[in-house]
Amino acid sequence: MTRSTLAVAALGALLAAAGCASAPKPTAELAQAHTLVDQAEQGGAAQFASADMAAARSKLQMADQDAAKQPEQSKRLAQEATVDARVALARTNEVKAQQALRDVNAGTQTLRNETDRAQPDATMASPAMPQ
Amino acid sequence: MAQHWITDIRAASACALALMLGACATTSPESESALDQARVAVERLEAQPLAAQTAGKALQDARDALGAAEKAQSEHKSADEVIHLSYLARRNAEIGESVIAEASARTAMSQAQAQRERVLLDARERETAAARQQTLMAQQSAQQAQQQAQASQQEAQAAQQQARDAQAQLEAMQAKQTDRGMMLTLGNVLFDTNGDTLKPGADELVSRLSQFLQSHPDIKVRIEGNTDSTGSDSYNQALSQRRAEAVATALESRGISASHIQAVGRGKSAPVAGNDTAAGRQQNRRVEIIFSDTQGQFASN
Repeated sequence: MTRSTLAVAALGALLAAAGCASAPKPTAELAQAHTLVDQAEQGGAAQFASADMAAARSKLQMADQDAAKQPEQSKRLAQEATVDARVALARTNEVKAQQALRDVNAGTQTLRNETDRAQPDATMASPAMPQ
Repeated sequence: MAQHWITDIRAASACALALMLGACATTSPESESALDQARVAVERLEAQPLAAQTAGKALQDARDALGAAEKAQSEHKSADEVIHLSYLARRNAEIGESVIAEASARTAMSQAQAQRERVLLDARERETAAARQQTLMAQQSAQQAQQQAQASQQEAQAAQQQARDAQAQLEAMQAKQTDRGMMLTLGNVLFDTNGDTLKPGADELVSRLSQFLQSHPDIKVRIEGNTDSTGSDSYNQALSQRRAEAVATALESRGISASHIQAVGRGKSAPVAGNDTAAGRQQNRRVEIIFSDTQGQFASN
């Protein structure tokens, strides 16, 4: 990491030296990333898609840190944090829908078992009736 | 964690070299691999029949990002840029997969809910049917009880009718109501003096009696022979017994069961008149036939 950071710093220096104009701070991308990460968190993504959520948070944190010094990298990190948050939210919605489906099916099965149990009781009750 | 967006030393060196040559172009195995992964992911999403319909936006985003990644690669943009765009393509494709999976779960959900409704409906229908069945059975047993009550009422009415018929028929034969039950007194005309054989004239009476007993099989008779006080006790006792038995035998010969007939000789022990006159002795010489009720019970006296 330190090695890579050094390399990037060197590259940055080189770019600066070579006259490549440094990009402005990626304000829009960062704002969008924050919005999406918040949305995903509110949607319960930390519970249902924790790995994607962790990736989104860590990239967003680095994007915030790099915003001024390395705007190009910050922009990519912000975009990746955004897409990670979207993945987290999509997975959360998927898992929730599947869970709800399982719940309904389990409820139906329980209901079926109950009525199947209740049925023999009903037929057993009939001969007990006064003739 | 692989920080793929950060170039390694070699990439940096390459870029530095490129920069020295005046262009910022590079390719790397990492960028090729990332691009391949993105292509595979996008193709997999495209292969899903519902992709365009259900996950149109994710599919479009994934294709756009993949197109941008391909373009960056062909234009020899930095490996970081290619890897970054490939990542966006791959992740958007994954979003599409999730969206499709969610949609199919929701479709299955509406089917599952419909099925649940059916199960609920079935259960309610079964309950209703069971309740209907119980009501029906209750109605049937009530009906049965009513029929039984009617039947026993009819039986009672028939028994009463039979008792009335028997009473009327006995009265027609000149039987009288006494405290020992209905009783028919036969004068001495049935037998010759001191004889114990029924005279032919008794036939009609025996015939009527046997017809009556056959039409009322539950009625039993007790036949009692009586004499006047003339003669010894033992003679009168034996004579009255033989006369009672003669009537019993005549009835039995006409098909009346012996179990329905008692024959008793009472001698001179039960006079109905004084023995000091001829008329009184005449009254005392008699056979009495006592009838049970229609249940075969004699008046307890």
